[in-house]
Amino acid sequence: MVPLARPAFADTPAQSDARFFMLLSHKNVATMGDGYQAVAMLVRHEGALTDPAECRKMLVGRNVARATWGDDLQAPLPKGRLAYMVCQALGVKGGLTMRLFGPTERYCLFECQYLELMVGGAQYQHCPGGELVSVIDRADQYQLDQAGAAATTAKAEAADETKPSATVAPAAGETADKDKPAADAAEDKPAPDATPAVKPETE
Amino acid sequence: MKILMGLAALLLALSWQPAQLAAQDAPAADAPAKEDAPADTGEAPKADEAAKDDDAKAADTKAEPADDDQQAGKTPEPAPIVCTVKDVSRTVEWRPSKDADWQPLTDGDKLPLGADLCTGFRAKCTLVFVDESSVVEVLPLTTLRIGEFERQGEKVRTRLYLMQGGTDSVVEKSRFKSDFAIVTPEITMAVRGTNNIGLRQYWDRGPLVTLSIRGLIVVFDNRNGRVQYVMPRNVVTRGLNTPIQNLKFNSVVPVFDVHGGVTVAELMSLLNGPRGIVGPGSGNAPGGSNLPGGGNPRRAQLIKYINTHTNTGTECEVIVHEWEVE
Repeated sequence: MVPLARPAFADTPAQSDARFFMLLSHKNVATMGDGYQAVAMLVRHEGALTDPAECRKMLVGRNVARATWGDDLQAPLPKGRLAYMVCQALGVKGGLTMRLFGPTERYCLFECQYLELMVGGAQYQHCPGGELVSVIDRADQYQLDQAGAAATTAKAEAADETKPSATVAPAAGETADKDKPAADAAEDKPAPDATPAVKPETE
Repeated sequence: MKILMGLAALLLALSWQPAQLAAQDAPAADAPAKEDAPADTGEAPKADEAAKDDDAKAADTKAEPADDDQQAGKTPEPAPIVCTVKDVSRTVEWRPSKDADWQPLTDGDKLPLGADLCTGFRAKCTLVFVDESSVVEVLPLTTLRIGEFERQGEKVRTRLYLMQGGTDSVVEKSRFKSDFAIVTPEITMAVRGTNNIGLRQYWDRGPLVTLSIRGLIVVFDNRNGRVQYVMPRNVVTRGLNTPIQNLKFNSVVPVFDVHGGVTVAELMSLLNGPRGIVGPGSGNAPGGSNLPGGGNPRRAQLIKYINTHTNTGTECEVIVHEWEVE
């Protein structure tokens, strides 16, 4: 395969994730190794830069990448493979076709396009370095948004669970809470047990 | 032969000057410190940090080198300090100039003009400019250069060159008038008022400009000079959108927008309105209607908004409540 022309500094090995992405954005075509390294950060939620071969091993072990793609780390990264890895890393289930037939590169690219993580194109097109950086940026934002939404939902559910018990206790007028008498609770006074319970800890 | 002799004399004179300067300096200031130019530019701000911190003007003047050093001609003139770094999280690196080495960025570092910045995965930092009016949060996976920062009388001109990634900027009212803009490969985003502005430059999808709270910003398409004003809740993206994008986000307007993107001449014509001798043009006149904006609701909103902010100057204080994001 004839190597593509690219700026000389773009091939400089990066020493940190910041420089890795900076150099990657100058590459005409991202390699499979670049893709493995970038998606590995997405999976591990941290920016530690590790060896591409180790990243590939980890991603194959987690079913984020396919072992059949080969171990040529200098091969160009097709957009379909990137879309497949992003969908697997983010846990995107997809639509009816993807759920019936499993994730394929073609449908993962459609799914990423629908989620506005990637722009359209053919799954065999080579992915430029700048596009890989942009996709990782948006995928991480998507991941954070999903996590934030899940945390908000969990908080709301927890609040809903605690609400009835808090409202029932004073309404019942009985000692629903064994440590706190109902009379004290009605007068908005601190429970007598509360003070001694705290004191030994402070002492 | 005479040329060789002349060169030898010149070399001797040049080698004698640093030795004389070193003899005049304190013993701690040795030759190795002077040889390392990037280290010098990194150290100088830290020395300033202890001494200063009351006035923004002082930063510019203090960053200027001593006259003796300039005359010696050994060390290049260090660029003026333009901003202080805050809230660095994860890996952020910078270099003082294009030829210098990258080095990690820490809280309290002061960046000179022309510094390059790159942020890593989920890494962020905040740049507080010395004009005390501009604060820029640099988002993850960003490559940025502090392109211009100069004070012209009571006006401060700031230009950031954003190659990739995103920024969230706040340009507030201060004693200096702010001419703040972020230049990407595709657009130039300039500020007209007090704003919370988000700008992201993607390689594949182009720019994404949003105005989150209030104010008015203007986006220039660098290729054709078209202008797009951005109001709150508007999002400006590259060129032509797909129909599905327009359906999904009806507030997405491309930079080249036939309804809102106008040249300066068109804008003036639009603002003045198609007035005849007897009054405003009718609905049949080109671009004319009894309603402002020629019957186009978005254009009417735009005209109302521009008028509101034009009347208050660049430092707008009028908040249009119906457009505020809750």
